Amino acid sequence: MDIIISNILSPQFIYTILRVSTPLVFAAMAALVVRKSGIMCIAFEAMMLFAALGGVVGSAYTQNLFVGIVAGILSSVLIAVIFAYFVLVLKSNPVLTGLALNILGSGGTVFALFVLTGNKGTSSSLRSLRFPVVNIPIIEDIPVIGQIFSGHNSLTYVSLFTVLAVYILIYKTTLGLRIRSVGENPHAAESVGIKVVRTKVIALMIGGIIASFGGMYMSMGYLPFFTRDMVSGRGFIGIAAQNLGGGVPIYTLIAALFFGSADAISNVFQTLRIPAEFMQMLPYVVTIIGLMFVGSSNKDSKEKTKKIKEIKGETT
Amino acid sequence: MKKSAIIISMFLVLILLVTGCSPKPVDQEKKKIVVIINTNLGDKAFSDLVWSGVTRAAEDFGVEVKAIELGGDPTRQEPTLTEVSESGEWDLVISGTFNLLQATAAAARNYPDQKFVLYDVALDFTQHNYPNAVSILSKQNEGSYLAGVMAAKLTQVTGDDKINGQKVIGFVGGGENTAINDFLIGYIAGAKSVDPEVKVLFSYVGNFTDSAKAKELALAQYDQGADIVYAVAGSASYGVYEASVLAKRYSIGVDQDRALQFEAEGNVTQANHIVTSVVKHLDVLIYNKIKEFVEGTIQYGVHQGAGIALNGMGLAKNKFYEQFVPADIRAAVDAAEQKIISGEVVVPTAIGLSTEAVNEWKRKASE
Repeated sequence: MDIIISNILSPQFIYTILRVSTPLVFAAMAALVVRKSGIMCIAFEAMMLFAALGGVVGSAYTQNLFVGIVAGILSSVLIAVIFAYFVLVLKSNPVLTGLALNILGSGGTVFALFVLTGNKGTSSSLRSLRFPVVNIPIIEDIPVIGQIFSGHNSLTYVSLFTVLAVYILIYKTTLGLRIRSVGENPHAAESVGIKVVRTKVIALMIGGIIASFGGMYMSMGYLPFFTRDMVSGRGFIGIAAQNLGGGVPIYTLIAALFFGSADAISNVFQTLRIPAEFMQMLPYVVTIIGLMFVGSSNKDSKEKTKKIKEIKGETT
Repeated sequence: MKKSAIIISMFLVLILLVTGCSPKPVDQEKKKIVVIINTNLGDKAFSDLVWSGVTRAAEDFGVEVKAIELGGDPTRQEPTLTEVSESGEWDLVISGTFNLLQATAAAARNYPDQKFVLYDVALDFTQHNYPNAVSILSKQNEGSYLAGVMAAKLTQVTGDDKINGQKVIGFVGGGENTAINDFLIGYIAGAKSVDPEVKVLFSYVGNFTDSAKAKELALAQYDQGADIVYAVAGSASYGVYEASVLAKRYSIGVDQDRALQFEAEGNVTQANHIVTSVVKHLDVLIYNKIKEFVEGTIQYGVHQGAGIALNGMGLAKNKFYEQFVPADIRAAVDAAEQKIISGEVVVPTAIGLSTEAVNEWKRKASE
């Protein structure tokens, strides 16, 4: 018990939280961009899985990390484009399409893995590359801060920069403004000459690119190989973090880190004689409770607008 | 509309006639054996292991064998087994794993003339006597017992920089079920038989695929003083192997000789951290069953637990094992092996054990 407490209070543990949260941050940021454009997309699991496999295969066959990254991004964007085609052009139900793509992601990656390596469980026979670990020069020598922030996989830093990039994209660029307007009121946006479908497709593709880094982190950073279904619900947790953060990049980051901490704590506490199922439940319970708070605060604001309208004498 | 209905029904009648007339295969010389694979061949693991035993037996004893792959589809289990049993074409049906237990047991009850061999699962002979079937199960608890003996001794050696001097070892399971707890209890019993003070940490991933979570769980155990972590979590086990490299500690593999597998794949760094693997010799068991079948010595109506005595399970004693495990510990493992074979040591099992009793073992683990 003492060891566990001292483990949790150590700077090493915050380092662990960042490591655990990285794929969640990517997934949440991807979800955020797509959500802003007003699309209900749950296909991030599939995007991440395909990117995880694509990156491994691309880097293994060319022995070039850059080619691996490109292959990973393309595999993820492919899923995003398929999703866009079905939902925006063929007008299929977005939730069902997302679900179908997730199932495709689970089975399709195993199929592709088998065709390429003859193995259905893992890509460990491929000599794939890994994103490098970065030691930040001056910071790494500062006692506590260095232990927390230095020595991470490069994609962990990329994930933090992504938050900033997404903020700038959404709030400071023309494209971001278009994405938001398309998401909030597509008819109004169309009336001022914004191409709604095209903007939504672009948002989905940006989401696909961000999600692909989450996937590649799983198979080329966190672990050095692809294993079947390795994303294991992280895409969904990302969507939950986006909802919990209310679609604001910094809050979404905090929510993703929060889920990451719940997961990290459950990992450490499992060795205590607390039932394993209880600890496995923890991250999801935290998710539900978090969503309850968001839901009730939304309800408050809805009632507020209703009251304002009543005062103004408008009917609702 | 009506016309097409008539055509279709005529077509169906025709099919019935044609299939009804097809002659039964007359090749009585060669024994014919069909193997039902719940998933697919080519998984480089369980199914391939089974199939390698079957094909080896086919070559040695001149039997005809065929595999039917179900692709993990539960809706195909009953129909396939019924069809195979009904056809009367096969002298022996080999089926296995917990997934196929229900369907195979039903087929064995409904077709008493068809012979069955079930592997890696136990038929419930208290419910029905199954005079036409035999089940064989590798005793995972016995293999894990040896792993526990080895780990509890290895965690106390000095002069190995992958060993930290604390009497703590670890275990990462996939999901909490009877089979995984059978591994765990064997492991705990083995460790405690060496030194009751050795602490066994254990965690469950919650599934058999989340290799990243398995890695985090293993790292948490290494942080808490474990220096050898035993991974029993399907493909999520790869996360544990990776964690042992990162933590510069040892892991123990499962099902296959993982160190040799990684070495063959060119990943020697990884192989250097897998001290041994608990290997199920399913191929040997199935080979032996086919041999008995051909020779006519096979016994039906029984369940056989194939432990170390029947070579159903054991530690992978490869060059990594010989390099990392000192000779006196290897001798102790061999001695424990002999004690199990002679019946002097009976390894406890989670199969048929109440939840309270399982919890009692878990409580013991952390003492």
